[in-house]
Amino acid sequence: MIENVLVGQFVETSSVFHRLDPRSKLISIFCIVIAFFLIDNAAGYLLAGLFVFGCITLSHIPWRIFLKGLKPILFILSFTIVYHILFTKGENLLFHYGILSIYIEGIISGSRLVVRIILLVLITSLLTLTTKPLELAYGFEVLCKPLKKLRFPVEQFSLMLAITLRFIPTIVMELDKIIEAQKARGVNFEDKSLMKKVLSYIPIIVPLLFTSINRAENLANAIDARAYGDGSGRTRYKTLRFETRDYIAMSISLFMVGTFLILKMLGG
Amino acid sequence: MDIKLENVSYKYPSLSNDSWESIRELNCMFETGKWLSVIGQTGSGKSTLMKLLKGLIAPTAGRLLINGQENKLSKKGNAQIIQEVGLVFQYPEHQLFETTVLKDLAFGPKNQGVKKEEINDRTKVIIELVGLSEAYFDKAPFELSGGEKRRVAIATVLMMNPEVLILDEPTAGLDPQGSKLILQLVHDWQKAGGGQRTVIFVTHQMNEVAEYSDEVLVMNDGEIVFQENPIALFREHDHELKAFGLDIPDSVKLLKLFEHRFGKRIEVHSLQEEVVLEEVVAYFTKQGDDLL
Ligand SMILES: Nc1ncnc2c1ncn2[C@@H]1O[C@H](COP(=O)(O)OP(=O)(O)OP(=O)(O)O)[C@@H](O)[C@H]1O
Ligand SMILES: [Mg+2]
Repeated sequence: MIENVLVGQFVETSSVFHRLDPRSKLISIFCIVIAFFLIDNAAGYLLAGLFVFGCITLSHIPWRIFLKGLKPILFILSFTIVYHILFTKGENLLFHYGILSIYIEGIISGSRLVVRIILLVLITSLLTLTTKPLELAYGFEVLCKPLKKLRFPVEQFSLMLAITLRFIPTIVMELDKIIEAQKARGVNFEDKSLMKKVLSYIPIIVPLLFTSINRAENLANAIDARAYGDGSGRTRYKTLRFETRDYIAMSISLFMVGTFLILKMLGG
Repeated sequence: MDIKLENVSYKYPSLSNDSWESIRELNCMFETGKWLSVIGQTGSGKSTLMKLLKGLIAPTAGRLLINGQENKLSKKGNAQIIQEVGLVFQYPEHQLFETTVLKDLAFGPKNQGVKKEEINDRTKVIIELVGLSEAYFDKAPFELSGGEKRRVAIATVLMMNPEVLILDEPTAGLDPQGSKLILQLVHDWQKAGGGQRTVIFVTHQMNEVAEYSDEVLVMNDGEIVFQENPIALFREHDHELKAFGLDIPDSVKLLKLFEHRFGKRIEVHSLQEEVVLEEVVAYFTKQGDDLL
């Protein structure tokens, strides 16, 4: 399972994305996510698809890895599309049987949503795959500095973010170990109905919570032992600086937002 | 039950392409009724090999034969668990997941479809066998001490009546007395099986290897470098073992020291400390008798 969860997993390659400042990556991704939400016509989807394709190619991270990241959301995706097909009403009836009627509009709106989710997952995976959790948290912290004036606990929040990102893979790995232990004791995760499968995961949650709480306690002690305090006024080993490539990346993202805005207005 | 590996390799699935095979082209045989110890530096692939033997993971190359029959993949193409093999994992925390010890003990046999009364009978026998008592039945596994957790973990596996018992570092982190207890209970379990029970024991403690092993399997960097009888292995290959970062049992150290000092080699039939000490004392006694 661990190989299917991309959050918090960093893949070392030498690509421009790895060299970008985490702040510019965060800003760019933020813009691109907004841009993708603006899409509402075929040209937009095509452009967004090409853009994501280009980015992934540039990252030098194998496609295989990104596709794996999509696996866990396969269930949500199929649910989305089925839901839309069954419940969207429209004008062009495609198929009718009893209370079941399927409209072309349903198929279209379902596929649109699915494509959008896939694109969003791919582009955000790009962020976590090319940025170490700590860098990401640091970038986040620096970007949120202005919020400190409003007494928002920026440092603690970014530490929390770093820990979360750092420990998601650990927890998933833990989950793998528990599943393995249950298999060894005769639990069959294979030949079961979906309902039974979901139920059989319940006994896994208990030990998982237990080990996770244990780990959290140890971590909290370790943080205290190193006198972290509330994190304010700490200095960094590495400081951030924007380079030309960062300005280029952010400009491209802003440009994307503009393009999709125009496409939307043209389409609407 | 005989288990045989033919050219077995295993590579963990991983995100990056640069991962290597954790197990490489293993050829070996685990014979019925034997006690096999597995030693090797950390990261040499011992735990991976144990998971292969239980069928938790399938070889990425090569074949695993159970009594001469290949262990095939499941219908869905996943690894196929081997029921007759019981595996006690390296970390007992992952092994215990029920709310009480009693429920945890019943978990395995219940999945195997064993009847309730039979499970009840087994729990009583097995909790004694691992040196605990029925007073433990209602405790939560999480509140046990390290040594107790280990023993319960072993008990949960014995509950499933395995023919082959694999223990992955069952004594790590225990005091010498706790380790001895575990070794002893595994030995008792094996003896009660009339030659049909196999033990595969992974450890870093050479003195534990000296105790009961019929054979020792030495792993280094994903490969088997020796599979031999312990006396021959430790007496003849101590230099090679040192190169693999491995020590030799105290009893063998004593024999070596003796050999070095007195230029005389004592033949022993076991490496158990008492046996070796006995032999050395016997030698001196005889010397004394001859002098008189
Ligand atoms: N789940 C996993 N995913 C990827 N690689 C793994 C995994 N588990 C182990 N490995 C790798 O496989 C190799 C062998 O590991 P293994 O756990 O079998 O060693 P070991 O001999 O049991 O070590 P130890 O004595 O520390 O328990 C190591 O290089 C390890 O990094
Ligand atoms: Mg191990």
